[in-house]
Amino acid sequence: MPIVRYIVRRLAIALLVLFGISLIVFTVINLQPGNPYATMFSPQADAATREELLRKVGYYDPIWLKYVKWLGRAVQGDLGYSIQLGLPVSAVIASRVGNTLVLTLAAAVIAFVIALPVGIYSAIRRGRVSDRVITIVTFGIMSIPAFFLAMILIRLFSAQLKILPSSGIITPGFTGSSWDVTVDVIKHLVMPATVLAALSFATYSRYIRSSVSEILDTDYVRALFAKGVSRRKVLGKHVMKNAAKPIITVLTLAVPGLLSGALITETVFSWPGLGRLGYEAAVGRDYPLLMGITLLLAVATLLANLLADVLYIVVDPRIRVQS
Amino acid sequence: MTTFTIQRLWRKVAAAGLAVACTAGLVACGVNTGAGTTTGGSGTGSSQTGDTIRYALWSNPNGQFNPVTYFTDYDRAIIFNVYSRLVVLDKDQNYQPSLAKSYEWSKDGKTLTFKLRDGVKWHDGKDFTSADVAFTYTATADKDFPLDPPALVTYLEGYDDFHAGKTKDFPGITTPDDTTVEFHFAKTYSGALTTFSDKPILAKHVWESTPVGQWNKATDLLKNPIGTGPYKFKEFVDGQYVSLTANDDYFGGKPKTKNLIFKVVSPDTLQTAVINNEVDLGEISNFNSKELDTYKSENINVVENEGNGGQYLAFDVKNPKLADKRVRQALLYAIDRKGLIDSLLYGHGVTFNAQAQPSDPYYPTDELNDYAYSKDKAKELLKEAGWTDTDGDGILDKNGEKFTFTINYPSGNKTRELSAPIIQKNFQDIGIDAKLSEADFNTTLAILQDPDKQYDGVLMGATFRPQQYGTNNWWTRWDENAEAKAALDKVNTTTDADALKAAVNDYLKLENEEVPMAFLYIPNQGTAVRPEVKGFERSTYEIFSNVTDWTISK
Repeated sequence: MPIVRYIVRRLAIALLVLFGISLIVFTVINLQPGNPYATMFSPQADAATREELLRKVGYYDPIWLKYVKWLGRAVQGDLGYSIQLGLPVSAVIASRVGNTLVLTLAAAVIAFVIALPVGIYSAIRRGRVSDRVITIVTFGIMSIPAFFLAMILIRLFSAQLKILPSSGIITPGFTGSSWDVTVDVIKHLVMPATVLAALSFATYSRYIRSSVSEILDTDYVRALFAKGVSRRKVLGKHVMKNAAKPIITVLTLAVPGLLSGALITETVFSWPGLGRLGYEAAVGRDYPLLMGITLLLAVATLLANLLADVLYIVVDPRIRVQS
Repeated sequence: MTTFTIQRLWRKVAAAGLAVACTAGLVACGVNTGAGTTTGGSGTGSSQTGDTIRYALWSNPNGQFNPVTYFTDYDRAIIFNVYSRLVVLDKDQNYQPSLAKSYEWSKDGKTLTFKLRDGVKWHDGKDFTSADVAFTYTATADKDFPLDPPALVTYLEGYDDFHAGKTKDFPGITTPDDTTVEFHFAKTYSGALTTFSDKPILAKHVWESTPVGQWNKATDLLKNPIGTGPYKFKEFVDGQYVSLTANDDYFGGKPKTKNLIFKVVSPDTLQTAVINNEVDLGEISNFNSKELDTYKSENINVVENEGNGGQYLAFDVKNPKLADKRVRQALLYAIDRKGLIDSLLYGHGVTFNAQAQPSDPYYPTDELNDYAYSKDKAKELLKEAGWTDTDGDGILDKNGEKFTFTINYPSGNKTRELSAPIIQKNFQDIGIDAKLSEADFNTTLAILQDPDKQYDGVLMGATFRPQQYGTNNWWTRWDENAEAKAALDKVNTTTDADALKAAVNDYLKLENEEVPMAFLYIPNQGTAVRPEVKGFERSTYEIFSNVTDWTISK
């Protein structure tokens, strides 16, 4: 089937791109000044001791040799050990990925749920006062820095009202039925997910607004209205099907954003996710961990792109694969 | 017109509701909470009254719960509760025996003998003996040890051969019997006790089957530390908390509170977490009067004590501009240090004039120049050194060269970041063309650690170590100064208490005179303590010294 061939070809290209990404990222990371042991050694460690230890871990190898060594292990699935944590990189990432996914998935759902009706309403009312008001409000919300919004929510719900926990993913030492655990986690999830959602809901609603209004302006839609087709049928049967494409694109391309994690939100709320992990790896020059996280992001982005293209083909019969 | 929109919305909401329910399901399965789930019991899930104290940590521990391979303060907090040290520091900054019953230097200062306590047991029930002590410190001298060896072991007999792998045994550490350990020094090292108070003892029977080179990767051992301390390790939920339970057989007495939990709380949300009763104690990150008022209004006590680390502006003494000590003294005079403390620390800090804690019993308080803020003195000294404004442009010059000064500073410490522009202004006021250069911590540290890099000034901080001085002189390149080397050598090789005091005084006075770094301020440490917690006392160097006395009422 041509679509299968298409997917296979895309996957092959993706592999090449992945290789290129790993090369570029590896080079850039290793060109930074500083080294991972700077903060691990005590100040007493003199130059000779540091050199000895750095030499042992291959720090002085030429950069191409370091890359070859890393690549050799990576293709076998061994992403190495985190220098600072002493744990296998794959294990560290695996333990954090779930947390980030939950947070960002929840945020995406909240954002989309709000953005869809807002976007459609704006599109229907485009050009009118209500549309302008909505535009201003959405841009306003989008402009609030995540940190600031987070602190406001924490102050309100944790410090003043005392109904939500200010940080973490669960109350320490919590025991209870799985339902109780879920409720506790949701309590911890509400604020960070809302902060993240606030940032992306504006983007989503704008995309939805623009793609829906673009279609509402077309001749065939006008013709449908002129024919007397009910509003509901026009929007449901005709408009949304066509508007679905760009919306799908936006959503699938937001996937890698999900994984890179909202660094600031995770930091403020002490949410143990990938975003904060990546930041600490970068600052601590923890090369293996940093490479692992970057690779994960690259893979996610490539797959998301592929998924978006495949969905396009599925949704719109007019687009066909070139044979 | 509007009806259909609402109906559409309804469907969306229903779909969303489904999505949220799915998310909840995902949450229950996908999230790595590490929470125990039990079907029996009360099921309300809140920590039980009175038997758990929650202490806030600013950042996630790395999980390196090995007392000789850890390097973050957060791992340290856990390690110092699970493991024990031979000696600890008391509130007067003197060494007190802990795991050791007593210690004694030989007359010639070459042998340090520890007599250990009897009847101490490891958390897994095995007996603690001198073999564990010998094993711990011998490992740090091993050629495969994954970190830098503590200075202590490099001074011991036979270190060079052992570290090079030429000998299998380490003659520097001997154990005449189960309760005695002797350290034999090839070169006297008076700072030894500091290392013993910094590096707890690990169990030989737990670690001996793992090669030393793998110690920082031995996940199973690292995640299940066995020590002799007041609390036993229970679990580490990465990124969230560490929980410990009381060791009823602890040699220092059974802890009054059964559970001790260390929760990761960002310093920015610490106040909220304390007020909201999510944690019971935590170190505060600033002394902003508004924050202190909020604590007071919520009945939360802030326990304050002198800090154990100082911030300074390191100078590159080999930089030709700064080689003349009068220039460095001038720069120190030019900085309004009291102003920094008042504005950035709200007065909650002290200045210092040599690299040691002012409460250190060896700190020669009355004999140090206090470099009181004086622009005039600064200008005068610079003039003596040949720097004057010959062309009237407001910037000092000498032999056609303008006095430019780049202040490098690292991000990550807000107070330090805020101090940089203030110091810049101070310098500009006396005619120095001062510029700022910010970089991340690692990059900034790399400037100091590379002896081939020349710089003007780097803002940095360092924790004080009682009886260990000048350990980072290589950052200022002052370690190559003959006088400094001689003075430090004298300090390191004197073990007689009175002679040591005199030697330290001399060294610190020299440092105060030579100004290899501009000593800025020592921020106080403050701990917010909820009113239900009783018995919390801490000193400058020890946070958990009386953890067995902490109680919490509800």
